[in-house]
Amino acid sequence: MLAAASAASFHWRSLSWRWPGAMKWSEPSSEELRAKGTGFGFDPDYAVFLKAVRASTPPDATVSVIAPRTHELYVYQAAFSLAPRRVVGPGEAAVVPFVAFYKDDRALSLPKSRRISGGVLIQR
Amino acid sequence: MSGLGGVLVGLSAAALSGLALGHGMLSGLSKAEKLAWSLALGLLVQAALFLLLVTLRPGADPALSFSLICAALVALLLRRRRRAETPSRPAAPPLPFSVRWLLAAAGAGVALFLIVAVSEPMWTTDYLAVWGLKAKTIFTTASVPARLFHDPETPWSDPEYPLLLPLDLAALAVWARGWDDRALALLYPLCQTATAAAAFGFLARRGRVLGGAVAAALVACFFPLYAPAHVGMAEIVLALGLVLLSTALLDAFEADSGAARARLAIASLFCVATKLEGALFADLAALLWLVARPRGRAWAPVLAALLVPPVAHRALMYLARGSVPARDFDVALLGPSRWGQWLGRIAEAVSRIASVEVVAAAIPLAALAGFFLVTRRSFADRLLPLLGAQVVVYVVACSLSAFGVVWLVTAWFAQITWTLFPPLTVVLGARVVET
Repeated sequence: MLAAASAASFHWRSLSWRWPGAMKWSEPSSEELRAKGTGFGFDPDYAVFLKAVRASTPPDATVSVIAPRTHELYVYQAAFSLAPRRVVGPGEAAVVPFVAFYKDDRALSLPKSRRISGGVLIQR
Repeated sequence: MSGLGGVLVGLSAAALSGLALGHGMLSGLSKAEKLAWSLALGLLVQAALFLLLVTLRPGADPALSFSLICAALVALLLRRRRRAETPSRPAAPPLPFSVRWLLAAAGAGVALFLIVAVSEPMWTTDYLAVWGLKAKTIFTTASVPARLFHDPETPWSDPEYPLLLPLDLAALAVWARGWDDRALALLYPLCQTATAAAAFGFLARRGRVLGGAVAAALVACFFPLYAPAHVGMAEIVLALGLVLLSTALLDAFEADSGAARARLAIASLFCVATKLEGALFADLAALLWLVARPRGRAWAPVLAALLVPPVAHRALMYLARGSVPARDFDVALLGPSRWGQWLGRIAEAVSRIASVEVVAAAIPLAALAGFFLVTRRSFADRLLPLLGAQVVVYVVACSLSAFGVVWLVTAWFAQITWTLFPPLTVVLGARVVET
């Protein structure tokens, strides 16, 4: 009964897509797979934006990420994806060298701003 | 192959380093147990080595010195092997059919979880916010930056948590020559294998091969724990530590030996360095030893083996990071003026667990109750008070939640209680009648 209860908790149907995923190690990179995976299921576009922020900022930078607060993963994904950069919230936006706005073109009117994939980056 | 090859080499190096260093304390154990203990000891050694290297030369690539030290440890093992006299052992009798089937089921459980673990890069919330964030920061900066503990922008990263898992993930990333969080997930099926092997090997060493196979199959096929949502988190690693500590404690109850105490100390350190709940388990194990130790046995040596590693670990963590507030619990509830409120919250936690968690697990719980009714007591029943006490403390912890009782019960209680199932299988396996 223990074994049956345990087996019932396994998502057997997921094997149909997990098996090919587990077998494929050549391409694409882990980072690209992460962008398409479950972790960005809440907003796949956010992965593209974070990739652009990563490409536009040095590893030792402090970046304020302005994104929706509708899901906690906006904060956690930014902190993880941009590591080792220090990620801070909107409260620090006035004092840090980089501010990244997700899907907010109004920020283009601010000084030293430029468009990146999925948003706008200010570099002071 | 991206980082897969590197992570495989790193995990092998960890296990071989553990085997080399644990030479004395592992003698007399079965091969399956040696696999489990070697991995646990190797993970401790890799984490300590990595920490030492990035502390001595922060920011510098530790890859060369790291791999040279690991290679030296493996060379030590090979030298010992060559020197050791290997008396020809009598061939082990073939395993009974039922045992082979159960071990095949365990293998199938590992294979299924392996597919689950590496099918996509690790993604769980706690991986991103806690374990993976720390590991990736440590790896990419080749240091343990103070902001991991004191950044006001990341209080949700649980700065009070221990660092064994982040350090091991960072060390494996050094072997992989990059951050590949799909290849790094290989750690989890290996921990699952080691946990099942520890349960099987321990019981088989005591002549309970069928019971050991039952335990191994139950562990490896326990999919509530070995689930996608736990890849990247500490629960699966903790479960390995809990089984090792449980079996070492049973050995210590049986007879006093330096090797058993050394294993107890290693298991205690592994638990404490993995998760706060591991420290609780070591503390409760020490209490159990004090209360229930066999007559005439000195209390101090085993108690020291259980408690010195946690105390040393806490002291080191305090020295490294200073005081870190625990934000998850409202300890002010423990003050006499708020006892009434606290009792109400305990009742709320018990009620929620009874009405939701227990109902969800009603069939397996009924099966467990039936099994205990129809089987006889065994030497491993000594673990039952320890496992029970751990659950009781979890309930009390839920009542102290700073984010609401229901929130902690929902987010944490079931998943942390599942880590107690692998040590429970040792009790179950010991009760199985050998045919």
